[in-house]
Amino acid sequence: MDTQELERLLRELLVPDRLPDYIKSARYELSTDHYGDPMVRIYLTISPETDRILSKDKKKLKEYSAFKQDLASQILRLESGYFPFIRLVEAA
Amino acid sequence: MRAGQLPEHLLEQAIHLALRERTRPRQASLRRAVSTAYYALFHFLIREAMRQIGPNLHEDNYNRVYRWFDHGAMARAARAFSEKIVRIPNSKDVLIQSNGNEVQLIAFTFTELQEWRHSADYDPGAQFVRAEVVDVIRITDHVIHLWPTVKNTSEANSFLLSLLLWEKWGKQR
Repeated sequence: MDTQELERLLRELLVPDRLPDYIKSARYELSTDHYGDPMVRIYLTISPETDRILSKDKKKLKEYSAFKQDLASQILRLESGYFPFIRLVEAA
Repeated sequence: MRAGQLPEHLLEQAIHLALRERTRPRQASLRRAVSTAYYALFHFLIREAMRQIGPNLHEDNYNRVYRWFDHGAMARAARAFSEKIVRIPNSKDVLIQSNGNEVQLIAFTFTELQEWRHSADYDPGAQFVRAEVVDVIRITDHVIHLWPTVKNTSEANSFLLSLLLWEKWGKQR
């Protein structure tokens, strides 16, 4: 399994310019799911304030959801064998 | 026990748990919300599969078959159906050349939810963010409502069968 192409795509997709402005940073790790199958875990850092806003603002949450879905679709289209798992994390 | 409205009621519980605390949500509430959303979709898909393969079974046999569904096999099938081209397990053969977007989304959501559920139930270090949990529940609700629009398609039929019999597609005879 060639992961170079996947990592190249991830570096492209996760540049700050392509992320919603409330995401403070993004990182990924090539890992496995709980069955041991390949999974790319993407962590998007937000502030606690952003969490409060997104939780209450349906429109903004839908926009985030669409962004996340698009990111996942682009990874799946590559057919790398890695399943995308994207999650928000709160900044410490 | 027929599944009845169990999936819909579980989803209601998930929403209740996610929004339980007004200000700072407890991690326990968010974890149980995610786990409950997973079980809503788990039971929903089994209920739909049972409607397809065993609508007239007596209750005892219905319950037996219901328990044949296994989280791992369902996840492997759903993972494959998250892709446009669905490949037969342990083979280069193609099961579906052009899987529809809706079935892909339903399968993707199930696969993702199972990972969420695993994290919520077994990873003590995981931190859950309320916005994400609310979004996961919203998507679960969305795919449950999407199902009637695709349930009579060949891809949806294959998906439901695969949830129970995924490894069988690879059998030559």
